[in-house]
Order: sequence, then structure tokens, then C-alpha cells
Amino acid sequence: MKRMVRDCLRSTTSIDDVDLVDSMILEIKNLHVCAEDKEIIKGIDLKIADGEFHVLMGPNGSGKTTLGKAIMGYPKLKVTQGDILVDGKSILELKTDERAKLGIFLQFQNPVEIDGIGFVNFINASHGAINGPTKDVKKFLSEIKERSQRLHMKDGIQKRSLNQGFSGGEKKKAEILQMGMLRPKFAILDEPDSGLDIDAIKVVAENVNEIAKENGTGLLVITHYSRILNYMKPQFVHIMSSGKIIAEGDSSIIKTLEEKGYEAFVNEG
Amino acid sequence: MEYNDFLSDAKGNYKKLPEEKSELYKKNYIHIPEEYVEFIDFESNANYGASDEFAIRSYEKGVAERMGIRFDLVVGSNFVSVPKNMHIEILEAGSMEKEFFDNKLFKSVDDKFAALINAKTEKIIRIKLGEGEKENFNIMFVNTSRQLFSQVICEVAEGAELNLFEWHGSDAQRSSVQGIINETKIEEMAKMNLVVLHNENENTAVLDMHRGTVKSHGSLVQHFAYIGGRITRARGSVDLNGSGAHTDNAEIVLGTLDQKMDICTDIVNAAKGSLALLDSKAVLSDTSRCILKGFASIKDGAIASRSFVHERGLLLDNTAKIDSIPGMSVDEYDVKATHSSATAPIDEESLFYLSSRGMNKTQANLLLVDGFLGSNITKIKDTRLVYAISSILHDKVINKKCGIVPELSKEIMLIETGNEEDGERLLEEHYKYR
Repeated sequence: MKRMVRDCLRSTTSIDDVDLVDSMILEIKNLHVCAEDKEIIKGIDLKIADGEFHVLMGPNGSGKTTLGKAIMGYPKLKVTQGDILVDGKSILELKTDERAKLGIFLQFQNPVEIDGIGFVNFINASHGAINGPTKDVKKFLSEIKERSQRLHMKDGIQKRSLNQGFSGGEKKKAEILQMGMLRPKFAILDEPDSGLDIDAIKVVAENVNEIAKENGTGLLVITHYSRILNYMKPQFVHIMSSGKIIAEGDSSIIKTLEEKGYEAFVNEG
Repeated sequence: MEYNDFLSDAKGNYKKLPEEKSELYKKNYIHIPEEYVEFIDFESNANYGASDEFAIRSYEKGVAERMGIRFDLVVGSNFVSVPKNMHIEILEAGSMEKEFFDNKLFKSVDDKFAALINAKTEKIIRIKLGEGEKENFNIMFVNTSRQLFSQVICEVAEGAELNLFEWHGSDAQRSSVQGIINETKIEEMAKMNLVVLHNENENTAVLDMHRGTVKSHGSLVQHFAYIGGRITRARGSVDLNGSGAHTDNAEIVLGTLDQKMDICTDIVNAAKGSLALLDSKAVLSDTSRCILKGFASIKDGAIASRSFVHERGLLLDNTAKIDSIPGMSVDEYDVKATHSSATAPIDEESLFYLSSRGMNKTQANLLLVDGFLGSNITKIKDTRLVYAISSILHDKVINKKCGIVPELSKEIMLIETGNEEDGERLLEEHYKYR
């Protein structure tokens, strides 16, 4: 079942038409990651070009979130072997904020709540740090409003403290709103569908598709369930278990997953 | 008490009183080292050195140009400008009548450093509003030598409203001391909003004494920003003496490097239906230290009154230290009274989240400081002051140094500030769990 088909898929998809020499590539090479001396990621290879859409699926505890955090430079994780490269240059020595400035965005599974920091002020500070100071405040605010409407966010949510008192669904939408405002080159979305009702999953998926299309963002969506993929069209699907990618393929792999569950991949992997 | 007796009483009390008189806090106070007070001459009433009007005016000009704040009165070392409003009087301490000294709210026997300021203040600033009058004043205090002692007496008559902003700065080149006593008397139905900014430089020991009394249905709203000075010692109290009287006190502290702050504020409900709030917030980095002492007392007979002391601390470095000591004494049954205190270091997960959004440590700290202190700053009604104080805070988070007068920060975006932390709402929310 394990198929290293990415390269051949790239030659058969429309994304292949993109000139990869000019595009950005996030590359993970033989990555091993430890948390408190326990190895969580045990040798992963992955290559995401901007504009590509990858999905990472796997059972609980397989290391998907750890991989996302390792790419973002979470200080409690230690890369013991391998490398993470952007356009062929290692980013392992870069701090988290420097990685964000390179265009990498991590949507958190459980975003932190910070009392007192206004949501709009936070987006403004973040936007300022990555793209430079906001020149046209009116335009900036109107874009936030427009994006929040597209995400069907409740009026007034922007006036609250960062993620404080947000429901699970509101938090996910707030993360996608940030993604839209920050226009990343690569976005790692860690369970963007958890905590969302059926309608909200569709709204979030549509917004992610739109943002990725607007900015040519390379996506790595981490999810347990295939429901969100009804509204998204991933080109590459990776199945992860026990810190390794045990299967890869195109979106047809999801059907197999739906029918046989992770067990089938784990056993065959 | 005549002036000579008052002076002799002040000098005597300064020499004999301990630095911390209260039994409650005698283990928790910050010592004022000798180098800040040893040069004070008690044989002469004069402040140290000659008047340096040019330096004082240059400082004032810098603040006006950068912050856009114009001052109605400038008080410097051996210098007082001509007040721009007839409600502001400059009075010689030596010429005051006996009644004035008898009615002073901060008596020399109350506090060692109140005694020092009483002994060394030459000119008293008196602001007196008549019934129904409304005025806004900005006063600058700037020390360009080694000492500056001042007193502001505000008397707000029935139905009047006074908005007063005090800027305390310094350009002292050697260890110096800067002391202020604010005494405020609010009559029935009168209102006063007092905003005090301490932005003295690192050579200064700051002594801030403030006392207020509020009569029936009067209101005293106070904001104190302790940002400057190497060492700050603040002692304040508000007595609500009339039914339905109200006081809302918001304090912010930003300590960097080795700054030390000792802030003690008492709120007293002495009449029925009165409401007293104290909300203190401190952010500390490096090896700075702050002691926050808030005490609420409800006197016998103050039925149906409410009181709330709320203290919060945020540590940006694990070498900084906050002692938060809220206290309460309640002598009446039919009241709502509560206090709370919480101090924490910056959560690593929060820092990671902020840095994942492109912010380096300084930018993250800026946002956290804005968020933490913001609710107490944006309560200030005058937006110019909100921007000025926020700009000074931003500059200090970035450069650590105190006493700087920066350009107004372009980074401040006061579109919204997260939760509105209204003191009365906090009290009600907190009280429901009791």
C-alpha cells in the first residue's frame, strides 16, 4: 500500500504546470523529532511546493501535530536528525517568528486564549510583524470585516480578547481569518474541522480554498476525518502512524481509508 | 497649627518615623537609600540649587512637541510658571493660615516621607472650583536638579467637575528625590478625574502621596501610571465620607531593569451606599520588583456599600518579582466586599503562539503589555493622554530606560482593547462566587 507517488503525481496534476524553479518549496528530509527525550517523529520526508494541497491523516498520537509544531519551531521539541528546508535552505536555526516571516503559518489545534489582547490589535500586530506596518487602517479593518463575514463569524467577535470565550468553532474560524490576513506561502492547518458543525466545516473549507488560491499558498491539512475533504480537493494524501508516513497517494486513498480505517494502513505499512 | 509649628512637626516626624509605619506592611516595603535623601538641607527651606528655567522650559517644549500636551502650569526646581487659569493659585507655604495646616489631609505624623514633603514644600498649588464649575488642567512637574517637592490641593465644590492631569518628569543627572502630595476634597455631587503619570528618569526616587475625601454622591476617579524613577514609593487613600460617594482607582506599573516600586493604596467606605474600587496592574521585567498593597475598609454604618480590590501582576522575566498583598477589613454586615490577586509569568504557549504570528520577543511583550495594562489605560477619558501613556510604555518595553519622552507611537491601534474591564462589573462577577 505504501506508495511514494508524489513525484509522479506532480507530473499529472495541473499544479505541475507551475514553474517549480520560481516557486517556494518547503521540504522535510528524514526528520526525527524528540519531545522530552521521547522520539515522536521517526524519519519523515515531505515536499510541499506553494500552491500544492497536501493532507496528513493518521490515528491519534501518530505525531501529526508534533510535525506541524516542529515545522514552526516549537521550542520544546528537539530535531535530532534530518532537516527542514525552505527553497533548499535549512530553517532549523531560525526562531519561530523568523519562520513565520518566511511565510509559514500554523493554524493551532487549540489556540491559546490571551486576556486583554484585542483580536483586531493582535491581527494588526501580527500583520505588521510579517508584512510591515498597516498603511491603510480603514482598508485593513474593512478586510477583516469582509473576511469574518465570509467565515460567518458573529458580529462583535473582533471586539473580544484573543480567543477568549470563543467556542471551538469560533476559534477555528478566527485562525482561518488570520491566515487570510497574513497571506502565508505555506499553511499547516492542524485539525481545522474539529469542533465545527457540518455547515461550518463547509464554510471553513471554502475559505481555506479561496485563501490558498488567492495567495498560491501550499497547504498541509492535518485531519482525522474525511468530511472536510468533501469540500477540498487535496492533490497529495499522506497517512502517518507512530511517527512515520506509512502511505501516500492521491485523493483516492481517502476512499480506502473510509472503507478500511487506519488499521488497514497500519497493518500493511 | 501655625506654619513654624507645622514645619518643626514635619522635620521632627521625618527624623523619628520609620520608613514603614503600618504594622501590616512592615515586612513588605522598599527602602529609600540614603543617596537619594542625604543631601537634603533641613536648615534652609530652599530647594537644592538654583532655578534652571531654561532646562525646565526645554523639557516642557519637548513634551509639548512630541506628545501634543500643553500645560497650564509648569513646576520645576526653584521655578513655578505663571498659571494660565485663575482657578490655579500658587501660595507660599509660609503665608498659609493656621486653618490650612489644621485641615491638611496628609499630616506629617502619618508618614515619614509625607513629613519630608511637608517640610520641604515652599509653594503650594491650590485649585479651587466653585459650585457647578468645570475645568480641565494639565500640570507638569520636572526636576532638573536634585530635589523637587510639591503639593497640590484641589477643592471641588458642589456640582463642579475637575479634570486634572499631572506629568512628573525629571532630567536629574545625579541621585535625586521628587516628592508630591495631592490632597483632594470633593464636595457633594462634585466630580474629579485625576490622571498622574510618573515618568521620572533612572536617577530619581519618587515619593507619591495622595489622599482624597469624597462627600455625598461625589466621585473621585484616579489613574496612576508608575513608569519612571529608580525607586517609587506611593501611599494613597480615598475616604468616601458621604452616602452614595464613589471612587474608582486604576493603577498601572511597568518596571524594567532594577526599578523598585512600592505602591500602597487604601480605599475606605465610611458612608452608606458608597462604592470604592481599586484595580492595580503591574508588569515587570529584568530584575525589577514591585510591592502592590491595596487595602479596602468598610466602616461601621456604611450599609449597602460596595468595595473591591483587584490586583494583577505579569512577569516578563523570571528574575522579576511582584508581591501582591490585597487586604480588607469589614465592620458592617450589609455590604458587598471582595478582593482578588493573581500574578503569573508569561505563559510559554502564549509566547509560541504570538511568535508563530511573526512577533519577536519584544513585539510579543509589547502586545502583552498593551493587553494587560490596556484596560486600565483606556479608562482615561482624554485620548491624548491614552496615546501619550501608551507611547511611553511602548518605548520603555523596547528600550527599557525610564524617563524618556518618545515620539507618539505609530504602533498604537486603539480600535478596541479586548474586554472592557469595568470595575463595578468585575466586582459583581467576582462577588457571585462568594
